[in-house]
Amino acid sequence: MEKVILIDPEKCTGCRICEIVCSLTKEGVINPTRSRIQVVKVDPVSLSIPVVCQQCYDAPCIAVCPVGALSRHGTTGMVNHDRDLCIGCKSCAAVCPFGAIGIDTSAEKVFKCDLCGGEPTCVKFCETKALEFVEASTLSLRQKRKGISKYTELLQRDTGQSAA
Amino acid sequence: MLHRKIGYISLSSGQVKKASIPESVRRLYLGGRGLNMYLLFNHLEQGADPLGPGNVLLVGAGLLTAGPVPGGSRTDVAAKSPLTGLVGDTNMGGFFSPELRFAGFDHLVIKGVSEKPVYLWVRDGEIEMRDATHLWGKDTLETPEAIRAELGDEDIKVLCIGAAGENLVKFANVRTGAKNAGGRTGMGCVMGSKKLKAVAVRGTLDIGVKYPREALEYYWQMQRKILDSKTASLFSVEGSLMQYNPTNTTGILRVKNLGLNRMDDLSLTPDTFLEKYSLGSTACFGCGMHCRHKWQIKDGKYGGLRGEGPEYYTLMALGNVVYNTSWETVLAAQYLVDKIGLDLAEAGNIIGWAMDLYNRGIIDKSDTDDLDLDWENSSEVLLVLLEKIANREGFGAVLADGIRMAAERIGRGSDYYALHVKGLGMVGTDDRAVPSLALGVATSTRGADHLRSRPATDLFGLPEEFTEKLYGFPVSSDYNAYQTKAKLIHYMELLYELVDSLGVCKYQTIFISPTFPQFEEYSKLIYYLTGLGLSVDELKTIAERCYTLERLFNYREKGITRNDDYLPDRYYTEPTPSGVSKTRGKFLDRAKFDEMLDEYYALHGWDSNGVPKPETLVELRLDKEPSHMI
Amino acid sequence: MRVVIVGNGIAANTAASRVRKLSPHAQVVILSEEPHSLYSPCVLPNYLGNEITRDRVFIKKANDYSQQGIKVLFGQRAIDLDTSSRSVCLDAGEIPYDRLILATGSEPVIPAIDGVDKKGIFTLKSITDADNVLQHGGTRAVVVGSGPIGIEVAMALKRRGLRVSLVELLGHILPQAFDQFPSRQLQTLLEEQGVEVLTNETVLHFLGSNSVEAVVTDKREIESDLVVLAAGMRPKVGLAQRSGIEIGSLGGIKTDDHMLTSAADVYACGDCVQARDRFTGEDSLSLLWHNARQQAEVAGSCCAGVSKRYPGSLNITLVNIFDIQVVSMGQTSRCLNQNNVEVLERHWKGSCYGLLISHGILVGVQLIGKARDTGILLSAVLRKDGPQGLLRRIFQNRLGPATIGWHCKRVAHMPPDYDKAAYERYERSITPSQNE
Repeated sequence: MEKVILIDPEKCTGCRICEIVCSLTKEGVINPTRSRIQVVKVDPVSLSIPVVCQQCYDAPCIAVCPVGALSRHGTTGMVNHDRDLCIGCKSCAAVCPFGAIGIDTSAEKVFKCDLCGGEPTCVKFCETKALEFVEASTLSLRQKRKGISKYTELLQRDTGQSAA
Repeated sequence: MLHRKIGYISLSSGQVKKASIPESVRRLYLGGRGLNMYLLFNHLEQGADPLGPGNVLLVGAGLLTAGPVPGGSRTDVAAKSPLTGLVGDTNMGGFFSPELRFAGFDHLVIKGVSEKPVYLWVRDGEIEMRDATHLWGKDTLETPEAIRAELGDEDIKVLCIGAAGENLVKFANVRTGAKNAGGRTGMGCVMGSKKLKAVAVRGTLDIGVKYPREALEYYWQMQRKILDSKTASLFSVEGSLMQYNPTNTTGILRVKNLGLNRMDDLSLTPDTFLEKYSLGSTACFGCGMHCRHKWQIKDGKYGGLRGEGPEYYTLMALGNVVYNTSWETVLAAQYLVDKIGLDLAEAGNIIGWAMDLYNRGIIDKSDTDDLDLDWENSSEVLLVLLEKIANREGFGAVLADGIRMAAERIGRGSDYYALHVKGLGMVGTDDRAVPSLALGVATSTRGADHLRSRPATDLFGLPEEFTEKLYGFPVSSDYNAYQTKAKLIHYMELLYELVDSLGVCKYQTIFISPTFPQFEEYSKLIYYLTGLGLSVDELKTIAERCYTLERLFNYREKGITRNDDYLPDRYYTEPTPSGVSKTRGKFLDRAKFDEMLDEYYALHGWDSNGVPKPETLVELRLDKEPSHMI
Repeated sequence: MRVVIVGNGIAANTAASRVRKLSPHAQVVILSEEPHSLYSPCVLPNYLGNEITRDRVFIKKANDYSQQGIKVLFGQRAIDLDTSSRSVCLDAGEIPYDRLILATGSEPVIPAIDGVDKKGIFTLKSITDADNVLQHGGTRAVVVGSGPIGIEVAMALKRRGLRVSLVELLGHILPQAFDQFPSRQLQTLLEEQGVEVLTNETVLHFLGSNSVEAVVTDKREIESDLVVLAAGMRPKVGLAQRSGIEIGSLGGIKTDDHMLTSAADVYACGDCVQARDRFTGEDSLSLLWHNARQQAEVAGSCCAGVSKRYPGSLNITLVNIFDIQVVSMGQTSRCLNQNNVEVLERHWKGSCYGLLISHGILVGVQLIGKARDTGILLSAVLRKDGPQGLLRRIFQNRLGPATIGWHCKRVAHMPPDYDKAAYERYERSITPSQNE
């Protein structure tokens, strides 16, 4: 059954606990730059937006990978990154519309969220439920799209200017 | 977590040295405030001028900062205080010291004075001094933006000073982020005297955790214990403002300097703020309590203004102490003091005093640059005065050197109304009815300050069987009592010394709820995160060591003894005018207070004059100080 | 139903997989001219430069096809195509089809330079080309053409320890992707690593008795024992053209939004087509891996009876220049050729960020070193954002408020040719200053 991480940016307080526990779980150290989920802070009113792989259906990263290291797994709903095939060209990191793919300069590969094998740690530790792990039914996909479009709304509200 | 570096920077010579912090030093002082105090004692020459090249500025992350630990965001900045001549020390939340840790450093020791304005650029193991001439004159919101644009990285965290620090106002603060401030004791003034405009940090290095799985598991338990509680459900919504109403209703709020102990005008309630101005909550690094507010003033005189905060103390210093009853003025004033880098605690206290003098006819318009300091006019003059202080203009110049010097300058018996202990301005509560709070404030090593020891739970009236389990000894459930309170203050001083050395926020300790973490929980967290096995008793000893070292510093620098451990005379003579039955008509009993002091000194192992005994120093391994280990 | 696919590159294979997924009972046949399973031409420079081993160039192994249920005929060149009788004529016979997908790819442009047929002069399109270059060896290489392939080959040969000169006909390198100012920065990056870059220089002929020994340009003679021609790619459309299928004005097979050609039940995708460009709305040649894949998804889907629309090609060039990632997206100043082009730029040591605004909307992006913003900016281009709206916020907040080190200049007229004087003036006018 497909499950995805649903983001509600209005609930995010910018505490970065998700970055702490993700990097600790996936890399064994605390290092926000090695976390699969990153919180982008938009000043001046400290608007915080969590950014993590949205496991896109029509993923630009899959399209652009020259060696097929990224692929979609039908059953888990996840975009899978095969570390062994990866040549570290970083094209995926560039085209991701969310900037959700990280670059590991020492391993010379990229990294991205793998949903922690079905129990995402970030979701567990998020106190405000800005992150939720929900079934990718049509309803929650609609919510997901709403959450992502909130980026635009909130940024607009901040400047009082309209976007095209 | 343990293996981070210390950077020694000489602003005079431009030299930078880096060294590791040995585990043996960690076992004695941990990090954060404790280690900063050790570094201060060792690197500062006795009698050094706080505004001269001999003063040492210390910036320190806590031992557990950035870890999976509740509220692990704190930065400690220390030096010899230009305001008091004693331990200068301030602690703040936000994102600065986690970034410092990710850059590979836990402590910075900054000496000397630069000829021209400079800023430090710390990143991934490197420290560089850069020209800050173009930054001098910018406020504390413009400075980080300018640095980020200059260095091309929006994730850089900046600690900086504003106009107050540049103009050597003795209670200038250090600032980071939108509103985090290291307010007390004038650390911004020290930075200004060194022509150090800012410290910019960016880190992408790993922080190792000794037992990651166990650490995460225990962290989860701690989070649940704290955040699922009723206290947290209130605190995470109202923030520190939560304390305002109970304090006011009880009658321990300081109003109109020390004129009243309760605000009759109820304009300044948290509910009004939440309803009219709040935009939601935001958090410091790694904190699930997210007690910080975001606010916006939509229209009116300050329409369009946006910021973060306020805290309970903001409301006290810029509200009741100066009898300002306008929320919008409080917010606008907070925004202003943040920009200009001025300690609102000290500023509120000194302005409240000036207004008290004015309303008593001791000073008049000829002293105040023609400003009408009538209590009713407070919201009109508050921001004007704050700016004047920051720029040392006119009357502001009289106030800019702190309340003790201002009282000397003004004379005319003004010092009777000047509320401070050891030169540091009085706290926002009226402690005449609560001996425990009074003792803590009177003996704090910074001066009049509640954060060394505030036993907030003393006001809850907890039964003795409960406090026995909580502290290991019973504490009287009566907050008017003097008995057992010395033990309480001593205990809290040790706990907060530990908490400040770990770099953890007090709001996730028994500060606000008796069920929240204290010694035992931190012992476990330290073990899982760093591998250091330190029992509760060992932690208490470390805390005792650090606190006594602070006392020793004050004794060494200014001969601080028992004589200085009292609140202003008015607290022992004038009764409180209002309040509930337990707080009305109260003042401190000097004889009973002296008994508390005796007991307090004995608990610390100090003599009856409040000087640490030689055998205590030996026991705490302080007899060879300064020992120059690092 | 039998679906025949001419080609064995990424377009062909993606289309084949899509057909297979949607039509489990269809017969899918791939006609592969080369004897190899699917491999990635994009990473040939990485192989050439010793960064990856030969086996990692391949994406499929021989038995992957049969596991997928796809029949592949290796070494089978399609000679003719009869769209009325619906059959493809091979070397060794005929194969009928119900639906056909042309994915014949592209071929290198070989400039008609005297001596170009000497030994030691190569193009780099197939893995065989790469093997040949490696086998040839050499110590002194000249790369002709500074498009992405030329740049990558130059770096690969440098990595292998050869002395490398890169010769470009036009006034600056990567001329299709970058404006002159950022291109100069890229040139510096190459030169810092020891690649000799010669711009505004034309190769006149190649010298040598049997093997190439020198390259003669209009400015000098370069000693050389290895030449790689990277003078551009063009769609391979011989088969389609001969069979009467409409070829567009740009030289690619004309396709509609469903990737259908002018012949019934004949689809086309990949380097061999011209399709609508999503940025300009006009036709363009796509010649990029991700466009090939996405076109193939549409072609395969429509072929299998599930209608899909191709939203258009995304003209995004991504190159790693010695560890610095550079990106160009949309249009450059050169192709805009209008009176109303505004260039927003920010510079730091080693990085550059340029946005091209025309008629108030973002139409082009050139990034050096801040390539992770590509996806975000792509969204802005597709949404037709302007600099005063969301775009500025993203721009400011990803980089921090741009009050210092940020300047915005109105360029009155960008000449299409390389008017050196005009460009020098432009360069001077956009030199970063401290104040806005």
